[in-house]
Amino acid sequence: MAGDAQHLTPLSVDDVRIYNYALSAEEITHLAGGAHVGINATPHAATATTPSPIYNINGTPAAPSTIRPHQIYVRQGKKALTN
Amino acid sequence: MTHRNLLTLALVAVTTTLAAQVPSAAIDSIPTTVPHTTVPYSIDDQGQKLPDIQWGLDLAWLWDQNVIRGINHAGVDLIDIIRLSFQTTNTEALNGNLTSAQKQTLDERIKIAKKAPNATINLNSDQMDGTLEQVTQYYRSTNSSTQATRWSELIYLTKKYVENKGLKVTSVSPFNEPDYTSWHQGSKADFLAICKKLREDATYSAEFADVKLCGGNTLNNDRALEWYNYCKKYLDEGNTHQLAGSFDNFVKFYQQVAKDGKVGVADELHNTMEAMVASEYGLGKAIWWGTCAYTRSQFMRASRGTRMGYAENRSNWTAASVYRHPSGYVQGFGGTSERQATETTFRFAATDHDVFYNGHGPTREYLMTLPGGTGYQQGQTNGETLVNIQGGDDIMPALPLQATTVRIVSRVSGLMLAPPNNSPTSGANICQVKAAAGNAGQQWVVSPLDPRAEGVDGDFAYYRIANAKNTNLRLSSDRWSITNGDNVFIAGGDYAINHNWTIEYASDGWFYMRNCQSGLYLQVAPAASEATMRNANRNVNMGTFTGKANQQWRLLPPDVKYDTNAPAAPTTLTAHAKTASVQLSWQAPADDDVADYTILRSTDQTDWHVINQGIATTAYIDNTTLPQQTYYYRVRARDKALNLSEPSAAISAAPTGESSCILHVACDSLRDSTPNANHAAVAGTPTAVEGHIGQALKLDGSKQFLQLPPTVACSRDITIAGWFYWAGGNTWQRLFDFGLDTDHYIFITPHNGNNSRLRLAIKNGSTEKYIDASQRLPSDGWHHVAATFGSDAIRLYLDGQQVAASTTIADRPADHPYGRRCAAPYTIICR
Repeated sequence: MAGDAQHLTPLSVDDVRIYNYALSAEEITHLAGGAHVGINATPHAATATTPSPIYNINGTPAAPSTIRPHQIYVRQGKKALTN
Repeated sequence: MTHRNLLTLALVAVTTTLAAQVPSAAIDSIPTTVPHTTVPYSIDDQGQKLPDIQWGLDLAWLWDQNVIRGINHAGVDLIDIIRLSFQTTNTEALNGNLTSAQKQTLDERIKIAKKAPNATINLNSDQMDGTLEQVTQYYRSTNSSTQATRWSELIYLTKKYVENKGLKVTSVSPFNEPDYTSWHQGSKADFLAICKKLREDATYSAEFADVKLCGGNTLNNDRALEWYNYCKKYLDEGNTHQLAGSFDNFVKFYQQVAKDGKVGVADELHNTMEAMVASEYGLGKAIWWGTCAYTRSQFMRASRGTRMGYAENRSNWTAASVYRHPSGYVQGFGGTSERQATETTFRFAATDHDVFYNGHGPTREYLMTLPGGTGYQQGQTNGETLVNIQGGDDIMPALPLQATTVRIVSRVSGLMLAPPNNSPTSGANICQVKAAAGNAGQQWVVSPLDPRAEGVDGDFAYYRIANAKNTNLRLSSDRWSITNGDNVFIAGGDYAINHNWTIEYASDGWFYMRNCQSGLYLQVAPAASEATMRNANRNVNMGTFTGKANQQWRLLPPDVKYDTNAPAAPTTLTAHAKTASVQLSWQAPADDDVADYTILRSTDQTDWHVINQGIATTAYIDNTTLPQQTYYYRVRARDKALNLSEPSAAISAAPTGESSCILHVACDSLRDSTPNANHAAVAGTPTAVEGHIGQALKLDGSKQFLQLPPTVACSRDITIAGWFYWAGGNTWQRLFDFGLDTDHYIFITPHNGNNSRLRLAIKNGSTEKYIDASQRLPSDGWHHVAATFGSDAIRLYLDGQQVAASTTIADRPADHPYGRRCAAPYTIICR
């Protein structure tokens, strides 16, 4: 169980995310590819060693010139969120 | 990407980063270290009403202070029984009358017993103090018949004598700890013969018709059933002591007594643990050996309310519980076996929402460490303690966790507790003096007790209070007094229980302070008028509880100027709904001594709860919310002297619940980059290493983990994702583990112990369900792992590809009984 000493694990952890819905397989693929799926905040990429592409609503990478600081991406069919 | 250490990122730096953000409940999150045992409870539940226990004090240990202190601590209304002994220590024959020595000892005991006027008498065999022979030859068994005749006559004459003095005998324990054969009380057959005579002999049967017979009264609870069963034909009560034996047999004994329809008795409790445990299995009557001080007396009172949580650690001989007093007050208790305990950590876990422990919070968890030893009577301290648990609209200021210098201010006078002229000398009576800025003579160093400190005597829910100008001099009851109205002085010398004080919350930032030795409250000497009690240099002494202002004190930082002027209420409170939180902001009042703010929340505008206090900014993010639930908020300003303003005007907002990422911890810091401020916290000090994206946290696998706020798992559908560089290792390790206990959890293990594959498992109180990938998590570098719980399926992904799924597993995080109230019961830990 959580907090049980015998299950503590030697590992490194990075970029932990919780969503209040079930991401689609496509979104998971994008997430694993470094996309900021569903983040309504300043992109984490500011400190990233490898810039993360931002995805448009249809899942395709957006052209860099179109990315604005607070651009938000959401999964298809969901209302876009803005700051 | 290489996996190497880049730098060690001191978590102090992480905390500094956090402090610059708008605060939320998560910013106060401190992961508890891994406990031995968890005590889950719901602060909002009524709890379970256990059968009422009759409580008693003991005179076998013939010391009037035991009874007086017990009454002072518990209140005379809770003392139902006094255990009073007949004496088998006399060598003279009875011949129809008690000996003069027996009468003299009984007179002394009767005089003390009458201090508890509601109590009836339970007779038992005298243990004395070792200076006399426990059972003289006259009372020793030559054969069962002879012994039964003599013991029955002694018990009969003692009962008559005690009742002629105005007391009522309701129970008799013929032998006390008969398994300790050095006392020569007799065999089981002897015990049985005495019971038979009292019940069936014409001389005694009428006299004892309404008196309970109690047995087997063994020292070793492993022997209790053997004695009880042998005699139970005549017994009304089953009794054991817990000075040896196994936890299992202790429990089995009370279960058997209850099954027989008899009363479970512990007529010599040595620790609150015994009361807690026996209460779960049929205890009906309990008598303290020695006395009852703070923790014991609070448990007595609490036991008349409801039990909200309980956990036992059988191998360690320890237990903990949560009770709600009849007054509504909630406390957590912990206790140990006097002679058999080993050190145990108990994690109190509020399953429904954040609470405050001794004023610290908001948080779900509190770790209580109970001391123990290394074998039978090897290093135990008889440790017991309590913690105050609050969740309402008036939360106590946080009690000191380490030595803290304060001034102690009287509510009735506004004057400072101090020795005369602020000059600490040994033996000086304490009084109240005018404030003198910077004078250490009216400052006090308040320190929580270490359970192993000198002079603790088991109960460590106390504080020591030393004068800051001379910390060798400690606040103390004058010369061990236990008398109402006696002085309080400062003294040095050996540490002892008369130097120990409770700090008990009254209300509105004020406390009562009670001495361990006397059970009496620190007070400005009472007077007919409050004006008199406001005189500078008036004496401060100890008194029985009145609850009046002269018994109430505030603990303030030494540089704070005390006044009673509350600041004005904050204005222009605004609430901005986010996806999974509400952000509040407000205008500060004009007062120049505002220290911080208290945030109150309600769902009905009637029942208000403090969700955080001590907020130093004029903004706050409430991320302990349900989606689309309307919440009402008010804010109060608090000045440095702990005066609270009136609440601001209320404002409402409802988190939108729109589908979104509600937590994103990049591991460059612990900060959540979403607007919900669901910041993480870490146990231990992980190393910062090069991550998949920026920096990552490297956990050592022994003490370190990353803890996420419990409310992030309260939606029915959920996705959990992260990058992991697993070093390989044992089966059943974890990537995520969202769990309260071994029956309620969600976890992902890199390779399970059944088939060595990556597994997502969920258990909500029934059978565990799981889905397995076709391989273990590779340990060759960074890999992305995600789990989704949707309306149609649960799915497990590795590096962006689905590797397992199930459309038949219906369990969801929010299906948990507590989760439906959005109070995800999970201590959410990503490791």
